[in-house]
Amino acid sequence: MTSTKQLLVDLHVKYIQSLDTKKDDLEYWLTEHLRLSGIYWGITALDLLKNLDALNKEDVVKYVVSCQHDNGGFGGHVGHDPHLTNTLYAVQILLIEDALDAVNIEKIVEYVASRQDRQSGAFTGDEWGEVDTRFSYCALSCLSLLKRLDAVDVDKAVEFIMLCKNFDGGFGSTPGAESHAAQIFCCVGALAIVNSLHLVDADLLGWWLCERQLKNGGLNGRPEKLEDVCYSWWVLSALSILGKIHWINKEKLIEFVLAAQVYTLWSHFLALTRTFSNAKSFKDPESGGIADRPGDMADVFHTLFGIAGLSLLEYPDLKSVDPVYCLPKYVVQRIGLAERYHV
Amino acid sequence: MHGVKRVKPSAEVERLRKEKEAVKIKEYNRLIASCFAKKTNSEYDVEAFNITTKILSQNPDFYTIWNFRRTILLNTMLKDCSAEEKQQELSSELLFLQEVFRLNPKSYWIFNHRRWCLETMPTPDWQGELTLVGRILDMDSRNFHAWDYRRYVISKLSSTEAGDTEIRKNEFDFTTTKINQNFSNYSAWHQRSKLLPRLIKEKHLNDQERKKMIDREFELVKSAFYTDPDDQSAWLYHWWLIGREIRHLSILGAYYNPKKAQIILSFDDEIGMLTPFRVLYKYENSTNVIKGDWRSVDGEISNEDRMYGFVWVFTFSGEEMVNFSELVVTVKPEWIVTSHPEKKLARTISRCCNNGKFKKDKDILVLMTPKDLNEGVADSMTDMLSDLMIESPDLLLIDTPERLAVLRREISAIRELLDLEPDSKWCLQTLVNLLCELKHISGINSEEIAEIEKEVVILCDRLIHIDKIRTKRFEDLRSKAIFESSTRILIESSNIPSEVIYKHKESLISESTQISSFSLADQKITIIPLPSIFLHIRKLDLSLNKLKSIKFLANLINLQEANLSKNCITNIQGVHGLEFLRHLDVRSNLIENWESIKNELKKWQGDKCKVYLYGNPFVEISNDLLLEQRKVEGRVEIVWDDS
Repeated sequence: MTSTKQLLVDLHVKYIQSLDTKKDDLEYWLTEHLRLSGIYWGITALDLLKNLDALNKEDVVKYVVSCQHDNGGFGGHVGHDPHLTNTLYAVQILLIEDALDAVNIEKIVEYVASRQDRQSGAFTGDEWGEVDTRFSYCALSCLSLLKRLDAVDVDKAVEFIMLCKNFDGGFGSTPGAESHAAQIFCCVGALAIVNSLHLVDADLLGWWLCERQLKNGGLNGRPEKLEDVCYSWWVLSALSILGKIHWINKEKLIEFVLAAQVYTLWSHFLALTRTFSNAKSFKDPESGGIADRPGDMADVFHTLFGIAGLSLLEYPDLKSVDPVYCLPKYVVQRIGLAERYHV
Repeated sequence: MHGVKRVKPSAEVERLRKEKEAVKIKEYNRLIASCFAKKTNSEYDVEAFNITTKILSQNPDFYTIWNFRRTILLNTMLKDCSAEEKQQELSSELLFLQEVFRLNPKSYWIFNHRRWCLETMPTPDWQGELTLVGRILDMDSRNFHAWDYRRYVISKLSSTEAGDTEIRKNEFDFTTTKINQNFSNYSAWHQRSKLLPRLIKEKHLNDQERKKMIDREFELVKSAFYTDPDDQSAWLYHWWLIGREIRHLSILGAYYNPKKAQIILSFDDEIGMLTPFRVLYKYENSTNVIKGDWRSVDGEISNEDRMYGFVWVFTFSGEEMVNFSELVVTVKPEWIVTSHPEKKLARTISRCCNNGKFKKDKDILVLMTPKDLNEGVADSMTDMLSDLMIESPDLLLIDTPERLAVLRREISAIRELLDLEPDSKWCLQTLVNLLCELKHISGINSEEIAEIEKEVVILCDRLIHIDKIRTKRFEDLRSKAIFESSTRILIESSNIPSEVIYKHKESLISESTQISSFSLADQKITIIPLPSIFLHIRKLDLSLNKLKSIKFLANLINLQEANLSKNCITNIQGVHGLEFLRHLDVRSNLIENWESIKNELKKWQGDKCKVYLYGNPFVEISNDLLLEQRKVEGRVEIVWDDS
């Protein structure tokens, strides 16, 4: 494998375009429950790469609408059960496509509000009752994007999140659970949304977060674990919200993310010369996308979080990403939401 | 897709794989189609149940199928059956879960389903679950799903069995075992941080026993970092064990400006205002509230919900100023938030000044002095302190002499280890932390504080050299230490009671000896942690540092001359409100475009001011003609050359 010092924009665009054509892979079918989230990861990445129109807006919106249930919630795919995480993904996609009016917003608000346990302030992912601070983030982010935070008990929601704070300044999934970078993104993001960042011990947590960077430049999600590209987002966004993004080494992390890109010289060349205009003819497993770490298979999840991380690191020619909402900044500005984080 | 290696197969292998895969896809999709058909028609029968078994065996992350499976169980197998049958049905469900668990030990849905089964069972075997999760943690001692599940099982055991302190004691011993197997088991250290405070509380230990228990913790951590000084788990736990002294918020100064009808409050922290501070005036025998607006001088207008800042200005909204005999401003602890969750205003604070006969046409700042509140002072103070005790994370060591002894003991232990491991980063940064903590404990004399600050700077310099990845954090820590030691003199001078500070023409003259000129040049500082301390400064020299932003200048409302040349500044945001500023030197910085400067200076409110821009990248690449066109309307003069 050769390594590159550039972000292979064209190749990643082609990779994301080709995702819906891999129907002869069993994996395509086994991951059907991630279809809606996959679209969120894909179009957010495309938008940051300044290629939003690489996927057809009409198709995307139509598909998202088809995932909504009568109770207002969205499933991971057509016919799949509604869930809070998918409901946020749907709202995020529709905001990027500027097509929120395609769905019944009031119903979404109703669904999200019904997921709060009014006693503890916690949110359940669906009617089966799983509680997790991830869902607190999903609910607060979703309602804030819809400007309907009034629909839930925000003080109680904050109270629950604070019960999940740990000895290291980080946050876990439930009270008592160990700190984890992705969970920290959710909790810090949720607190930022409801103007409660003063509850975070920024020096202690910032320290813990910057210690996630390993010698190879990559970031891990917990002490003494392996590096992974997705933490370029979870760790970096939290650091950025706390105004401490400079505490990690920018150059080394950029190098690590770029090394996790999947490509062959030939595919790179083809993408650059735009030899193939038809994405369907493009199924080389080694072309495009970003993997969890160098040498592994690419997937759209790591592709987004790699690119979003690069955007936070001010990598050239990418649109800026909002560290709280994980949406392109202009989308958040378009709906008139204030920046709720430090520099 | 985590950790799946990329392999490039040959064309033939790939063709065969595709063929095989096509068959599998067909079979899988047939199952899915029939499952969804059953679901749509609400057919909760054994056939549907068996289909879910097949799908979940292949794809345990398919949450909709788990949901459907539970619905089938509830509507068919578990409906109208005896407790015994129910128990049996769900026991076999648990066995099925163990099978699919092997496929994916990190699936949320498997653990969710398991919880549901046990909670639905007539007689769940929680002890059995504890054994099972113990085995899972033997295979992967950091699996956080398993740790979460373990805590869940423990909570169930505690609610069903007597003696839950005993259960927690056993859990505590379990973490000891895990830690002794591998000191790097951060999950186990974390678990310990949850159990230790509860055990201490529940066992009603006396001071001696409690101290013994905590000392044993210190021993355990010590043996961990002696074994591997690079392992962060034990160090992070150690830092928690030390605990933090409660920091109090204080007001650095309160002033009344009669000419502008404004009150100025400066704090030693960046605070957010929840409720506007109350301003009252007394006239003859009546007390009235003054209406007006509070703003922080560097507050972002875009933040519509809450403003943050160090220096706050209250502008009276009434056009004509009332004659008063006394002016009182009051700040209650619950009206503000600080930048740190444990930093609090210890009690309600009031500042006042007497006599409203100041000449309004003169530039005068009147110092507002502390005022005792007549009602409820004692009560509110005790309330706040007891709140602090409860909210403090510091459950272990409350009493100051004990803390001091522990800190000194730990500092010398770390120094010993540092002799053996002079380049251990964790050892060095723990020493920095401990020294900074020691500094904040009351009873440390000023000589020792000075020594500590000197050492912290040296240690940070070494850390910058050793841990190249995190240089910027150590530069910030170092800046903080330098800043605190250099500005102590300002705090001392601002404590000198002075009744009135006069503004005469363009300069401030105070009756006391307020320091008005300050230099912190050539110190490699990257941040200004406490800008409000410069409130009185008129002439400031911060040249030859590594500052990236001058936003903090907004707090220096009396500033006349600022030298910020030779830093790393990229724009001049923060200066437009400084009405007395006459010289702004930002030569040789990293300002790359003219637009940002123009935008800031467009908002300029002050009198004549010279801005020195020579030596910035955008100036370097421009020719003289272009520079001449770059002008700002009004009273700002740009100086382009190096004069």
